[in-house]
Amino acid sequence: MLFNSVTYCTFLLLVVTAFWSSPLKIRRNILLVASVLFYGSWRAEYVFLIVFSASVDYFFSLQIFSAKSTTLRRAYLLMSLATNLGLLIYFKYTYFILDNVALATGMPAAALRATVGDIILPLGISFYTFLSVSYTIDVYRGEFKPIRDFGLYLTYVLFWPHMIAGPILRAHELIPQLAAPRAQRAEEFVGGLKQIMFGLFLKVFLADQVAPLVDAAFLTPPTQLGGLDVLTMAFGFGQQIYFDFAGYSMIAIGSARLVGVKFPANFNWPYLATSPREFWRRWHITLSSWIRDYLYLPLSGLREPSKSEGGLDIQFMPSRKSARATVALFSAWFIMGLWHGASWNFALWGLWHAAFIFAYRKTNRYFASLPASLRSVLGWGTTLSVVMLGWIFFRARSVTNAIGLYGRLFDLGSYRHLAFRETQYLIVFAIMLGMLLFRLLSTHRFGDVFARHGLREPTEILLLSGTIFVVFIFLRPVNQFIYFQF
Amino acid sequence: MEEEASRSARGLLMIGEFASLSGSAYKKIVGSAFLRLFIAIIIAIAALYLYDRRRIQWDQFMVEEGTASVDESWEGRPITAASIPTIDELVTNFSRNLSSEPTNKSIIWLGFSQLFTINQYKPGNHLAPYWLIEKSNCNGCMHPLGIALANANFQEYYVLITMILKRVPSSALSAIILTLPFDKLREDGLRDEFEPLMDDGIQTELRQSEIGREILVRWNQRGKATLRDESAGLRGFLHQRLEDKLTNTLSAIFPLWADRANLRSNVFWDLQFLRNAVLGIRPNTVRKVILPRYVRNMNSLDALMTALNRARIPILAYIAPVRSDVPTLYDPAEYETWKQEIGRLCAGHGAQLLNLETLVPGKYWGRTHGDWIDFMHFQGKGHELLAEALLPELRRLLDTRGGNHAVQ
Repeated sequence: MLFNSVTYCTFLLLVVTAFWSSPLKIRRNILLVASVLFYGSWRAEYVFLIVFSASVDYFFSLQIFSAKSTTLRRAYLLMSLATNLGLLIYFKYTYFILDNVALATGMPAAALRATVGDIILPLGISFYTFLSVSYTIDVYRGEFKPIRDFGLYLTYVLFWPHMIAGPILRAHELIPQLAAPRAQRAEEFVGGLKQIMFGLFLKVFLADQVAPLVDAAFLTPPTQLGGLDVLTMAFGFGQQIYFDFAGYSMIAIGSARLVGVKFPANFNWPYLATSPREFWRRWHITLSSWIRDYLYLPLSGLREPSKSEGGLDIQFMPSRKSARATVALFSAWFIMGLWHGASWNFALWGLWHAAFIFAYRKTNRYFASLPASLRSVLGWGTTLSVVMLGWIFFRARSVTNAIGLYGRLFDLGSYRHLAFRETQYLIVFAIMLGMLLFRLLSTHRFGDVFARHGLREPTEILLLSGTIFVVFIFLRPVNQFIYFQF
Repeated sequence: MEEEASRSARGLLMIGEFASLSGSAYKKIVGSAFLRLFIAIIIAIAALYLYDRRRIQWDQFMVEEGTASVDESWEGRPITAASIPTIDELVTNFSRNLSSEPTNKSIIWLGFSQLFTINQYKPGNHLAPYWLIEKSNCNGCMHPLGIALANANFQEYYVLITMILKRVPSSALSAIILTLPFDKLREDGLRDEFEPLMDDGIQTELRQSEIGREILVRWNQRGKATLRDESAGLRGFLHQRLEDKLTNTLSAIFPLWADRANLRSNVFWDLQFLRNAVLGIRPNTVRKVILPRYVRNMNSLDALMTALNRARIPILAYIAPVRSDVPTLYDPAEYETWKQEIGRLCAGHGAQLLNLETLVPGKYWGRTHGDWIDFMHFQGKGHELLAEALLPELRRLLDTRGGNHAVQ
């Protein structure tokens, strides 16, 4: 089910009404039934796949917990991981592997693909695999006792606000909330509705309106583009994916709040980051926290308590381990890139960020003597540019296409011609400026000024009515969310 | 006096009390999250109703104010079409009636809105295809079909010609007239309305040329946000039908919901107005060439002429008349370069080229409406002049190259 549809609004209304008007002990079952319906509205048969995957993890996590020997515990963990990752590899990477085999051996890719038939990527498989993996690993590490209630475990995996595209919550953060829903306060309820409304605004008014421009631009052969066009495309897609995914996360968080479940924030003005470290603390926070806890730290030989907050906020890096840390950094981002999509583009996008973080670590100390404000401005400009240009790898049709697009940036003569209508450059610029202004106005300093003049509530009402106005006009499921394909 | 003073004081006191009461009521209202949300919803609904009052006629906007779109016919039969469904119908009927009128000289006249609009329309005004028949003095032996779309670009010309060549035997077409407007080179791709035309046959045909393949790639990967398919994002989802049903039900019980297309038009109109106001964009602001679009359109024109050459259909191309009594909206250097390129292209394909850019005098163009200047659509007389200018060249072309019967 798409969040940006009338069906979802109706579904949410019915589920929330049923949830709060039901006795406490059956509320959890309502969430489970609603989640199955939510996922089944895509393809009913794939619900069984998730139930199968969840059963395996549930069974093995109990075995891990009760096993006496480390070898046995490890064996159960490996079996659980093999099942989860095996399913992910089969559904998501089979064609990718076959295409690369074809490339290496010179065999026709279509013939190789035909040997495995049509494989349909189950919606949200990358996300629920991460949920399952973190659960069994947490049990293995002794951070979480496995639950002995399969229905509850299934509700954790299937819980509709987060199962398709996150936020990725850990078992110990979500299961207790599902097991004992909190009493709802009016502010929480209205807060949830407001988050849904603002999330829809980001999706249907901003992301979906920028999408056709970006889609058309990326279909243009690089030879017909100039440097300014490529920059505009990179910034345009950066805006689209941010509004699309941040919008999705806000709707997910708001929906969960309506049934008394609290999710952590997934985005926090990422394009205002002044360093790559800060960017990954602000962008898709629950994913970067997952990568930190289950990939980056283990590969670096370090360990931190599991939590889905904080992002990739790692600054301690003993020098004696610097070589291992560097390998861990590049490996983690390479895998994270490939996790996004079965294409070398995504792997290169991950490596792009790894290289940026690496460069930041190596050069950061040389800027320490600069005044803080200048360092912030320089850091912001550099981070924004590098992050936005990185999106070209993410969005381009192929590696060749991406390289062609990057090549245009260095052709200084190409900056004289514009490849798109003037409005396209203006929209991208205006959105960037609008984001900065909005952020500035929503800071505490301005908030205090509004409050002092009794303007905070009227401003909030006007902002909310403007949002409702726009969402009413533009709400239609013309596009899926970008992260659905991952 | 004292009593009056005390009455005033009491009055002031009451106002004060009322003010403090409204102050506390105000605080109560804005202090409650639910009430704030409720007020926001009320304001939004009221604003939506007010906003929905305005109707924007996009067709009117496309062809400028004061310009009428005209359907032309000859002896009761339509001879012009200005939308994909009517073009489809016109070509189908023409193809069906071929056997009954073998002696007619059938000419396809491809153009943009200039071909089907008359500025400050008056009774007795006709479109250029009508005048072409009228002035040929051969009792209707010349049979032009005016096919045009507002803001048509050359990629769309190419697809339309491909469709026509697929449906109509080339022997039945005596000539093609091509209108070549410079400003349409800023347009790009095919509009969504082309969907019914893009069958397998047309797609196979388009794949024969490089630009045809590029057009197809862009067509097949275009944004899903089409006017017809509001639930395109749900393709493949089980609940797509439910979504359509819910939307229809909402439309039936809530007129404002049903009218959201108008509301969206209003938003886009206002955003465009805002852009123009902020950047000082006026109708006569010079429009620069957009290189990739220019290349795609010129390549399409080349492919179109190649297809016509292959079908041995003579081509009469003309550079479209533009308003010359006000400063032009073209970049002069770019316009000159384009005209030279068109000259080379036509020569390369053996097409007859006429430069009619100054054909229509200033007095036969539309009125200016404040800032709005119509550069592209002339009055009835302009159509007559256009037909007169084309007729001798068309006669010559038909007599010397492809015509089976001389036009008298």
